[in-house]
Amino acid sequence: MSGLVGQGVARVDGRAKVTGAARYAADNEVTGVLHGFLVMSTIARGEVVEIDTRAALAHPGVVAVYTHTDMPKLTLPNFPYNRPFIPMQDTRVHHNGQPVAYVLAQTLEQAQEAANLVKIRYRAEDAVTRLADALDEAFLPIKFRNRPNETARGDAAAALEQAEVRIDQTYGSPMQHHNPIEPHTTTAVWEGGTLILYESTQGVILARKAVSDAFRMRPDQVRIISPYLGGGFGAKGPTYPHTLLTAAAAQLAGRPVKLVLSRAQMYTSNGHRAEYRHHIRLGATRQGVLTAIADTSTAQVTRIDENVYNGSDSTLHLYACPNVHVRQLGVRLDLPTSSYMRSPETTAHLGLETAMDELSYELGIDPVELRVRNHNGVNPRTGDPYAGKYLLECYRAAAEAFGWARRKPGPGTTRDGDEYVGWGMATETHTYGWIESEVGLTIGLDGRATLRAATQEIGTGTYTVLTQVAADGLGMPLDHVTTLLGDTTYPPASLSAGSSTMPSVVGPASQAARSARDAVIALAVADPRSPLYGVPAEDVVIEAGRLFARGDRGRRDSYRDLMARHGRLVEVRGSGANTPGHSFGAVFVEVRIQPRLGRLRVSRVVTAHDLGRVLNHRTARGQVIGGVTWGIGFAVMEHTMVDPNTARVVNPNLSTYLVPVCADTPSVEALFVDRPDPDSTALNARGFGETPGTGVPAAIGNAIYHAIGRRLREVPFTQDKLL
Amino acid sequence: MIYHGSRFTFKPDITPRKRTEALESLREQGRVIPSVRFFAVGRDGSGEHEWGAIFVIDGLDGYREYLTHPARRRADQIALPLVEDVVSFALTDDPDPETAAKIAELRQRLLEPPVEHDPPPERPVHTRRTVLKAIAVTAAGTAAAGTGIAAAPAAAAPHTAAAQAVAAGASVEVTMTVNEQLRKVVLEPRVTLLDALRERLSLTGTKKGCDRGECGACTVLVDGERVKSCLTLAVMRQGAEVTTVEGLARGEELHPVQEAFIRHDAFQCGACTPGQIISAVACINEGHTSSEAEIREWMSGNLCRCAAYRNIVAAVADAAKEVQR
Amino acid sequence: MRAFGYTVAGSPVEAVRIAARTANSTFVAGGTDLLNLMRDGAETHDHLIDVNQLDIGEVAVDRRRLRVGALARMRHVAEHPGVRREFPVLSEALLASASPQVRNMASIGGNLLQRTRCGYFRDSASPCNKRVPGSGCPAITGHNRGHAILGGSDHCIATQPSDLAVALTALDATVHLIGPGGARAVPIADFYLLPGSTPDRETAMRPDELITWVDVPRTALAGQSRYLKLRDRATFEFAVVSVAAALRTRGRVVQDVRLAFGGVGTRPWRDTRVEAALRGLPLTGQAIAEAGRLLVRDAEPYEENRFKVELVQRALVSILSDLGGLR
Repeated sequence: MSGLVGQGVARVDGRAKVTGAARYAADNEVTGVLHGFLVMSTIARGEVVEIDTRAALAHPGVVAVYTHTDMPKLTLPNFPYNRPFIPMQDTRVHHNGQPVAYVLAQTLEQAQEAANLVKIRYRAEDAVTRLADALDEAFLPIKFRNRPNETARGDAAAALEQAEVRIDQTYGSPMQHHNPIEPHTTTAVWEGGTLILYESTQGVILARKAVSDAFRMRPDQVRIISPYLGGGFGAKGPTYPHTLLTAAAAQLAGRPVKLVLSRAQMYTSNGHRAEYRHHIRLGATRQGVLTAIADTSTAQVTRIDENVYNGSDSTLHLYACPNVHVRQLGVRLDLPTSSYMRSPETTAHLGLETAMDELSYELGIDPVELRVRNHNGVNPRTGDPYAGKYLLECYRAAAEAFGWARRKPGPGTTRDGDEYVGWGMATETHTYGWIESEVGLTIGLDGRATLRAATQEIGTGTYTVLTQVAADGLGMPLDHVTTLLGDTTYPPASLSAGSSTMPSVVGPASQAARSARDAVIALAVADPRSPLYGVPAEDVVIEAGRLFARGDRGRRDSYRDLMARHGRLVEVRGSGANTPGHSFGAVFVEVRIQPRLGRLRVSRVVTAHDLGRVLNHRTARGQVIGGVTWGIGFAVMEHTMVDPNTARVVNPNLSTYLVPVCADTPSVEALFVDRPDPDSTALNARGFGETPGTGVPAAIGNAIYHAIGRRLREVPFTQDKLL
Repeated sequence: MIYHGSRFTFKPDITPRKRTEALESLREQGRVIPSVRFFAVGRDGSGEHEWGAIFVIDGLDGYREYLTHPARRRADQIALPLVEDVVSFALTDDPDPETAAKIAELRQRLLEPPVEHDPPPERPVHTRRTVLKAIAVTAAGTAAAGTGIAAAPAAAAPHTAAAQAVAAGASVEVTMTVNEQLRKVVLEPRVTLLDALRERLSLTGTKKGCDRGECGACTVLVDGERVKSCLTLAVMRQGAEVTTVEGLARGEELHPVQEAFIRHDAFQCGACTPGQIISAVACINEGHTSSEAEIREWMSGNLCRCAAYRNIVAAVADAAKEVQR
Repeated sequence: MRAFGYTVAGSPVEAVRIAARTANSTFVAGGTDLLNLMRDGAETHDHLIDVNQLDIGEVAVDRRRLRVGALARMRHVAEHPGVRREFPVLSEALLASASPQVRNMASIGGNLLQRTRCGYFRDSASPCNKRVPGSGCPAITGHNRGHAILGGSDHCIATQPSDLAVALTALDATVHLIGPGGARAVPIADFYLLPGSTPDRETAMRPDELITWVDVPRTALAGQSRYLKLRDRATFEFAVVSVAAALRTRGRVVQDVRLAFGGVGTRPWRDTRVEAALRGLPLTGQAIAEAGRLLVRDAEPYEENRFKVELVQRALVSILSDLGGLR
């Protein structure tokens, strides 16, 4: 080990990204490509009666206009395909903004104009579009991806009945959209019986599965290429109709087709965070020990599927409470299927962590102390004590850095000029996943290494960390290792979602590096031309690409010389299992409120996180400042508006759907406990990306209460609620 | 496997630094183009040429990727002016003669820099001259209302011959200086500067995020000022000087803002980064970097959904010191 | 975008002449709103007349007035030393608008003619009386947080989004136009129309007219002016509520005051009764509160924008307190 792992090395893909050389999916030039553009439905529910394509076909440059009558019959794939139907297979319209026709033209401009010229007649049916209008019809949906929607331990109802103190409140959050900067894009190229897709996807392997299932092809007949991804946040995790339709259009046209969704189309084409009501009841003793949690959430699902994506996971594991009852209900609306959006558990966590704050005031116990008293030390997965959970350390470290001890407990007690100052905190936690992964590692004849894995770089630093891990294991300088990602011709590896990349791929990369290193040492000690000939393998040390005999540094060889002599590549594969789990942290927030205008400013944030071993402090810090900003957006501005009558999105853009800008972001002090988790095979690191930010909306709401004594339970906390 | 190679000799007056730059740009291809499995750049042992380079590439798709990759174009831009007596070749170990034919076809299509025509040449293309002529005829014939132009400045007011006109559906030639190179492109008036850069001039470094001026990913410099290239028509930028993210570095040497973005980890996914960097260059030139608050305000026209904002502010502040020194 | 023809005009007279002779044409300067309107199908044009070569881009302050050429870019007006010194509300309103990039591109004429950000207007698949007269107004029963509480009708409650227009309204600016019938000037108070039953008609401009410049009288009052803009994120957003105010006091007594409001009216909102209520009185919290109540007396709020009734009054208190040195 050269100590590269853990260092905050600069991103190895930095140069490509700052020079414009990094090729994202829409940046590939494909000869003879046609530009595609989708025509979307303008009703929420009903049938397509007639499609008149004549004007569109007459437009200069238009090559084809496909409708349900032209499209090949495709097979509905399972997850990761995220729709209960494939559009353009029949006349049914399931939501507003659903593809109903596909235009192909020589130029993008021609395709866009022709799409406007397609005339469609519908037979519309009554649509239900508002959660509030249909709450009476909430039901318990079926299991989704092996997760039940009802979980109970102990007897929450009885314990609530007997509780000395109770909190009973309802919280809410609206529909939100991921809005990665890079739009969804697909370029489909058929070559003989093989389909190549340049695809903006968080998972090339899963996308291949969805596409090959839909077209009834063997997986090896589909190649998905996605070396750089311009953000995903869950929007590019599942596979969506536009990908299948583009492949089908290219097949029909016999030409490559490139499709880039417009920003407005992205509001109905790739999932969203579902609108959400959350009823929480807490029971506790006067000493602040939780005795019951009853947690019922209600989220939008669709008329033809019932997938619930925003799990109440933290209710189940975060606090040591003997009586817990969680129910996740659904309400069927005529909207698109929702999906995972960065840190999906935030939605439920907002309610839990606000309720905990309300309980702290009710009891007169400091919010941090209340959480410490209910700390859970037992891993729910195993029933054994956690081997490496340092949440208590996070509370302590962040509280100290924030200066929490100076907090005046009562609401409305701190003023600075014409502003009220409020301090709030919350626990942070999120699930992380593990997906079986392999990594290929090749030592070339030049003595340099190439790592290949069909996982992706989504911005979290996959290229960098895997290069670090490989270089560290091989004993090579960082720049002697090249990492290649995002191509299904590489060994199958993890989806970049669910905080699962590092837990899934680091172990295999490390194992591959060690195998390759051992293989090279074996070559050296068996090679009569090597100065290391005959040295016992365990006595060979490798540093910076050079091999030495322990205790006799004069006997040395190098990867370069050795591989040149050897004349053949060394190729190995790494694999290995891990288990899913949770990462933890604490977030402390200061807000300043100018009460006359309801002006709110998040002025200071301090976090401390326990993510096991920190593999790269820079990229980990990047996840923290990103997550905190997402938490701010969630808390104070993000909100998709759907018209109650037409179910059309009213703000499908980035000027009226607000996301934080540079001037909205406060200073963030990010602390890490940085202690190895012995249960993780990823060099003792856990999955982390989605943990930071999970507590931020609640912490902001809690700080608002502390500042002005007003308890807000529905995000976004806009200025009209603060007047 | 496809073995793509070249042999060349530097022109006599080339400085060692330039020479290193050229060789490095060739090596960079091997490092960044995913389909290159192995490569070597070094002294040529055949005696005919001084230097040689060989790239071992996986398959025809890989070769297409290699030929169209910006790193290869960049290497051509840097190295070609410095060398003479260049030979280029491609071999394959695939016994199928089809493969060799396809390689030849790819090379012919992709190695010769294409003339950027839009719409594609199968449709009639109007240059400015033919358009003006067409309009003059229309004006002379008076009642040709269907063209959308009943009178044209060229006919109505000869002294404003600088005025340029094109009918709906027709195309026009636009000349711009892009990254210090004179570029000509034939396109319809409705084509934005962004789509001209990305889809016609192969400059895909500039990104399309929202295509409506709300994210800033498409920011470029036009005549030294930062603009959103999705909100301006290419035809409105006739004769302009455009700088994109591809035009900031000098050879291997990055612009101080690019260096600072790497140093401060001022990006994650990288999709907003070209726009952020161009915006930062302008922000510094405008003098809006006197405080952190000022940088935050003046960098707020560029969204970063990964929210690397804190690091962007640090990078801009740091680069400003260097640029202003 | 629908295919369109394109002509570069050499002079204002020529631009107007081409417009008059070319069916369904419009002028393009910065293009920063026009391109989106055309993309969204909110406007369709067969021909664009590029006016960027016209010599009407100067910004000049003399003893009597500020003259801003219609082609001056937002940034250049905002940064002009004379504007910053003598007309601070203009500079502040411009700097609070859009993004640095758009301020480099967008012209003053185009800024005044930018169209509402109402999501129904910008969605060609939704009904909208402004876009398709007679098709209905979904905002009244739908999402209307961004909509007007003053000056609306049963046909339209959309706001005019220009911050600059609000500031110019406070300062009694005059908009100069040239058209096929010659040149004329329109006081800004008459420039923007109330929607009434014709929300598709937004300004007093006649067909094929072009804004050439805007004049703002130079007064001591204009030098004592400010712009307050409230919104849901720190910057780069249209106003939820905004106020342009100019105030001159002697002692504590209000000598003169000008007020215009954004985000609350279907046009930049000026109510001279509110100003009259303050004039001649000592500037006190009570006097401002009275004036505020007068401002919203006829307000017609909707489900999501009810808070604006309160917020605009508080914004008035805030800006006048700052200008008048009250705490």
